[in-house]
Amino acid sequence: MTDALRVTDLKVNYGGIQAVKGISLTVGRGEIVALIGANGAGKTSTLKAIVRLIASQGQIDFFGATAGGRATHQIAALGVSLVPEGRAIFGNMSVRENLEMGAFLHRDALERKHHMERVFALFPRLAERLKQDGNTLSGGEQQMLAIGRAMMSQPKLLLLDEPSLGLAPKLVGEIFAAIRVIAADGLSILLVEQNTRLALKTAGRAYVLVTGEVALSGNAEDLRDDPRIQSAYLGGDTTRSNG
Amino acid sequence: MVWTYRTAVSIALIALLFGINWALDQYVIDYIVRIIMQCGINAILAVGLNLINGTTGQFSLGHAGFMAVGAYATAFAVIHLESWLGFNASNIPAPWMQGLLLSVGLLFGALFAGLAGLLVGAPSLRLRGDYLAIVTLGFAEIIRLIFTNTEALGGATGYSGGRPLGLPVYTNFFWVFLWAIFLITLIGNFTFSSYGRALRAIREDEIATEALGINTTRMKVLASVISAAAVGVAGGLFAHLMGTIRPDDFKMDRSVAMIVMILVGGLGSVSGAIIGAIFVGVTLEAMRDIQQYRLLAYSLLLIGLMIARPQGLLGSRELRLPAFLRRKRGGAA
Repeated sequence: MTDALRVTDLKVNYGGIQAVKGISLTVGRGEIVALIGANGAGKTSTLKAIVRLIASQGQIDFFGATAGGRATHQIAALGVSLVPEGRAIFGNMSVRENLEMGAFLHRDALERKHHMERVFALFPRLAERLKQDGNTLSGGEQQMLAIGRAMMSQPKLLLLDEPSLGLAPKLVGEIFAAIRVIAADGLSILLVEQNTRLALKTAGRAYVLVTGEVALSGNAEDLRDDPRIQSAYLGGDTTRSNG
Repeated sequence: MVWTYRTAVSIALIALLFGINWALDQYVIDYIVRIIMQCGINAILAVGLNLINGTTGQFSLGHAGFMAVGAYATAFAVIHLESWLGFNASNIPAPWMQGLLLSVGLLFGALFAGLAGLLVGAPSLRLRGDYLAIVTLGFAEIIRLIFTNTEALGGATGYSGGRPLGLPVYTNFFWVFLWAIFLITLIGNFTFSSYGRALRAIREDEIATEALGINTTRMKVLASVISAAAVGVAGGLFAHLMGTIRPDDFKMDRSVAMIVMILVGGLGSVSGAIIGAIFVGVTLEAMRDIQQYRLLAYSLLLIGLMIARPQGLLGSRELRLPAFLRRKRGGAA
């Protein structure tokens, strides 16, 4: 079976600066793969290049179909959904409208209702806030809405950009619990995260990006025990929490 | 069932407009009727502009250009249609024929303005914010200069179709409001459809909208075309109300007036745009004696508005019909 996502030798240039220097990665079906690394390592650039929000070189395939020549909205139609960094919800639209926008490509009303109920099962708070405008939600609720909106598009591959960014630890826990539930349903997930500990706990495999290159990759468990990861990202002492 | 309801409403509406038209003719002085017609034309302008500036959040400063294209195209079509059908000063068409000629002309006006909307929108809607405003402003100036320098369309002195008495004055209350109601209903329904929701999503966050599988460029161009076509119809009605059109009728202050209308009413609100249009129509008339200070007055008005009520009179909300006039809709209310 073909991989959900296969990226081969991806390069991204901003002017004269190469932000991504030829990385390759795969996400198998039903797998959670984490992309970790420090600020400026090229994580978000990689994600944006994958859905063609920015120009890049290299080969990208979704479920065996090439991304070449496709625009961002056509990639969404392949069953790939991006939850952008900073959530990017529609602030002046209600929670319901946000969710309905997610289902723009799926017109069947009954199916839409069914998927909305699934989102509410995942994030019960959204059901309570249905009529509220997006920008009146708390940061955590906005992240839930962003993920819920992406789920409304019935994706097969979910790309999450920093879902823990700026959230209280308790909410981060809730959101990552939901991510695991989504993955258990058979979705493939590429998770970009700065919170290395959390990412390695959630994902099955991980790639470590350092200045635009894959420095390390492998099983999340092995990486967690790797001394290089421990000293660089986990603060050396694995018993200490870094939230 | 729905169809018969619609038909009944449409017939009742036409009868009502016809009645009001007759009553205005009989009992109200022309000056007042003229202001009412101006307000109707303004309402089309405002609702048209609001679709792109308010709902979609793409700031155009050049809608006077689309209005000019619509005005010239309508007038040109009406003049040539008349001479083709053999009407002239000694063979004046019957009133119903006048309205028909005008409406056919307005279709041409909408077509050409819509095409202009496509030509300007397709390349420039990739730009954002200030850049888009500057491009649209430049477009309006280019259109004005083209008309100023086209002798076949009267050049700087304006277009009157070669008639000594100017363009035939076919615009009356009935036709202004028939077109206004038609276009406002059309744009209103579009705004509250799933397409309209996508336009609002583009205003909120374009990248997120694109990532949800929506071709944002196509949606923006579609909004631009509909907006320009509506404004073009308003231009055509304007032309056949004034009896003459000059390139200087479509200078920047006209674009600014349209923007004031939608800012007063509340960006993104269809009913707000209508209220703003009436407001500007009436105040413009009240300021007739101090014409040269109009732009100044607008500026003061806008500053006052920004301090007292920055979201406009209605904000992004809508006035709704009383419940007994509202038709039940399936799903979203």
